[in-house]
Order: sequence, then C-alpha cells, then structure tokens
Amino acid sequence: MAEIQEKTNGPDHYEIDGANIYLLGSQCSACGAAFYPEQTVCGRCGHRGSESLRLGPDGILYTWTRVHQSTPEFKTPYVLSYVDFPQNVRVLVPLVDNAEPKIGMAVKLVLAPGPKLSHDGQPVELVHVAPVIAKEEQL
Amino acid sequence: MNDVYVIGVGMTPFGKHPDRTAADLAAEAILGALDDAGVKAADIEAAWVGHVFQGMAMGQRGLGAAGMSGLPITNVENACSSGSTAIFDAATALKAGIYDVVLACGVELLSTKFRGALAPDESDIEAQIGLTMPAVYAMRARRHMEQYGTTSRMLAAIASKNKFNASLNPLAQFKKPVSVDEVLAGRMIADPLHLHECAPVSDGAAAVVLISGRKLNQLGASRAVRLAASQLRSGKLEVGLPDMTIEDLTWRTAEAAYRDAGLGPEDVGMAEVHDCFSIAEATRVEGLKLYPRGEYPARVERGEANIDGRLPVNMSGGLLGKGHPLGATGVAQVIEIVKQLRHEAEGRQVEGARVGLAHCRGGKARGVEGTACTVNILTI
Ligand SMILES: [Zn+2]
Repeated sequence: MAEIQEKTNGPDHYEIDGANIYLLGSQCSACGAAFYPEQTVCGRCGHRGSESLRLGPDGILYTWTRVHQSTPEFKTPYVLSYVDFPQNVRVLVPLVDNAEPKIGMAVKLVLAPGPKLSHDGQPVELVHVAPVIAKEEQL
Repeated sequence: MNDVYVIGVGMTPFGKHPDRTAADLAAEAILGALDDAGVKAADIEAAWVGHVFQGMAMGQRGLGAAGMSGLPITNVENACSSGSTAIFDAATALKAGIYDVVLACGVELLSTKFRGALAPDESDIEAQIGLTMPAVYAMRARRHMEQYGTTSRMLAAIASKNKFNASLNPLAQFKKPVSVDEVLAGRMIADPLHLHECAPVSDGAAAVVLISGRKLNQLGASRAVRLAASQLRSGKLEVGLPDMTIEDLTWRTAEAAYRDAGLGPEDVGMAEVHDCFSIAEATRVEGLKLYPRGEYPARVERGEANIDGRLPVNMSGGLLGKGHPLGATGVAQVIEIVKQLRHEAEGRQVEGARVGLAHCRGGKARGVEGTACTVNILTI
C-alpha cells in the first residue's frame, strides 16, 4: 500500500496517495457544507466541528486567467483557474501553462513548479491542475 | 429615526501627489467640505475617516492638519469601501440621534507606497498562490463572456465611456478620452483585461458634512441633498459552486438600501458604481438590477449608460477615469451624486434626475465573493 503524505503548512493543503493528489478540505459534521482549506467552525450553520474531506483528484475548469502583472514574488505570466471539484467546492489553483485553457474542460491535480518564487528566486512547488488528455488523443 | 442630509462636499484632485502627505490631502478635502456647507470646524461633533494603507491614526492626522482636534474621531478600514463605510457610520449616528453635525472623510496616498497589481492581504491563502485583484476580475470577465456572449470590445467600451466622462471632470486623474481601439491595444494585465480596464494607482481625499433633519430645519441650507439610504453589508462565506457573474453581495446591500429609501431600481436616474475594472461595472450594475443580467456591456456599446443615455453610469469618470485612491473613492462617489443633484456638475450634468445611487465594494478574502459593500441613495 502506498504511503500517504500530507502537507498542510504551506499555501496549499494537500495529500498524496499513490499516483493521486487531493486537496484537503473539510465538511461540517452537522450540515455537510464543504470548505477549502479546512474550516473547523461551519460558515453556513455555525456548528463547531468538522471532518477532513479530500477534494479531487479530478475537477472541471470553471474559469481562468493568464496573469501578466503581479507582485514581485511571482514569475509572470502564469495561469490561475477556479476549479470545481465533485465534492461541491471551488478552489483557486494554478493551471500548468502549456495549452489554451477552456472553460468546462476536465483537469487533474498535479504538483508543478511556480508561479511562486522562493527568496532566492527559484520556483516553489505548488499544487496545480493540468488538462486531462482524452484517451483517443493520447494514442 | 432621523433623516440625514449632505450639506457640504469637498475633494482634492485625484491623481499622483507624491510631494504631499495624506494628512495634507485630507485637510484640503475637509476644509473644502466645511466651506461648502457653511459650517465652522467647531460645529463638527464627530468624524469618521476611511483609509486602507495610511497607518495608525490617519483620521487624527488629517483632522489635525485642518486644525481640528478633541472631538470623537474614528478610523475606518473596510478595503475599497472604507470611505463609504465612514459615511455609513456617520449616517448611522445621525439617524440614531446621537449627533446633529458630523464629518465623513476618505483619504489615500498610494503613489509613493505602491507599484504593480494590488493583491489580497499577504496572509490570504489565495494571495500566496498568486491571486491579484485584476486576476479575480479577469476570471469573472471570462465567465461573463462565456455565459452572455460579452466581448472584449464591449468591455473596452465601458472603459472608454468612463475615460471620456473623466475628460469632462476637472478633478479626474485622466484628462484625455481613450477610444475602444486604444483600450484593446493596451498591454494585457490579466487576460482578458487590458491596462485601461484596470483602475490606476491614485492619491486623493474627499469629505462630506452630514447633518440631521432637525438641524437642517434650523440652518435652512438650500443646497442640501437627502441621504435617503446608507447601507453596508459584507460577503457571505460561499458554500457550493455559485455563479461568479452574479453579485449577491451587491444585491443584498442594494435591497436593504432600496427598502430604506422606499424606492426601487426603476426610480434610480443615475449611478456611480465601483468600476475598479471594466467587468466590475457590468456585474455591479446588473447586481443593483439597474440593467438586466448579462446585457449591460452590450448596452454600453449602444450608448445607454452615457451621460445623455437612458441610465447614466459613472458620470464622474468612475474609478477607471477619475482615479481610485482607495479610502477616498466611496466618498467621492457620493460627492458626484450630490453635485449632479444640485445641478453643479458643469460639463457632465445629467438632466432631470432626482434620485442617484452610489455603490462601492471592495476587497477580496478567501471564501467570500467580496469583503465590504455599501449602497448610498441620494434624493432631492
Ligand atoms: Zn454546517
């Protein structure tokens, strides 16, 4: 069985389980409302207490932009997107910048460098999404 | 509850004032508002001062530069709605009957502090992966395009309209009209938003003197404009997958303001709305229900929102044309409506309007659509 690695201290909170990456959110134990990242007090019903909820590994691209001007800690241009996960949560995730994004396309969580730069100017590894290539296109 | 009236307005030119201090800008606006109202500094019973990045005790520094001290002064930070939240706080105190003559001011000196794109607070998890304010609105714009057939050209028409209106406003940052083609030829900030579709970095201050209805009866100020509603709301934590083209926050605030004023969207004759980006004017105007959902950009292209159009929007030039000194913006919007209703908006006067609406909303924090929103409705 593959080892599960969890990271919840950086800008993104995620878990690696074998070949799949999941973002780590939470679900209210009273009303079921889901949030990312984890929210211990529910933003809908006020209940105190939640369970961990995995988001992903697949989602749908809700919208996107290519950012050309940013703050100094980011290398431009880069693509940001909002991704809708089947767990009923929308999360801001950078999109690997190699294809023209399309609203509604299927995407998958991956780890990739950038757009954030470390103090010495190196791209930081962050959770991204990448387009899911349909099987027939791969052949 | 007591009625509230605006009896004096004052503002600095908006633009770049790197050689001045924020206190000096605030004092110019405050003294202008006192003179316009015909009241003395000693008449002001309390003051609220909105700003975002000006540091500790901005209000005391600004009022101090205007020779005013000792009175209750409250500093207000509510992102881009800080100035209009100062008006909300001042109006709330008047309504409650606590004071009869108060001051609301907004001020920001950004050009010496700031470059590049504005972003949410650095502790925000979305800011840490690169979310900027232009990116937030670019992603809303792309949804508007997808859902309603809005084009880049239509969005550029919003920016072009506001730059043109600004050319008619002597206090505006931008002095020259910008054509739709020039907007589209500008450099991309966050795709699909070009440079002229993003509000500039600006410095400036604006102030208003507000009084209670009972004080108005004593003073008999002939140029008073009634503040028929002043409402403030914050964004709700989002659950699920909301439609990003719909401004729930704007509507919840507007609905409360319309109710207080006893008016509806159909009564509004002109509006100043928070056009921090071209697309923002569209989703706001639609959120206020002044134009049908999804149709605003196309209607701007047809001239409906021009000063001489069916329902003029951002006669002052808006944030895109007049400039956007964050804390001052919400106060300056109210000032434009006051000038219009007094028939003192020379060169850009809207004819016949008796009800004007000022809408301000700003900020971004993870999990909410927007942080703070105000709607002020003014009538004569
Ligand atoms: Zn709940």
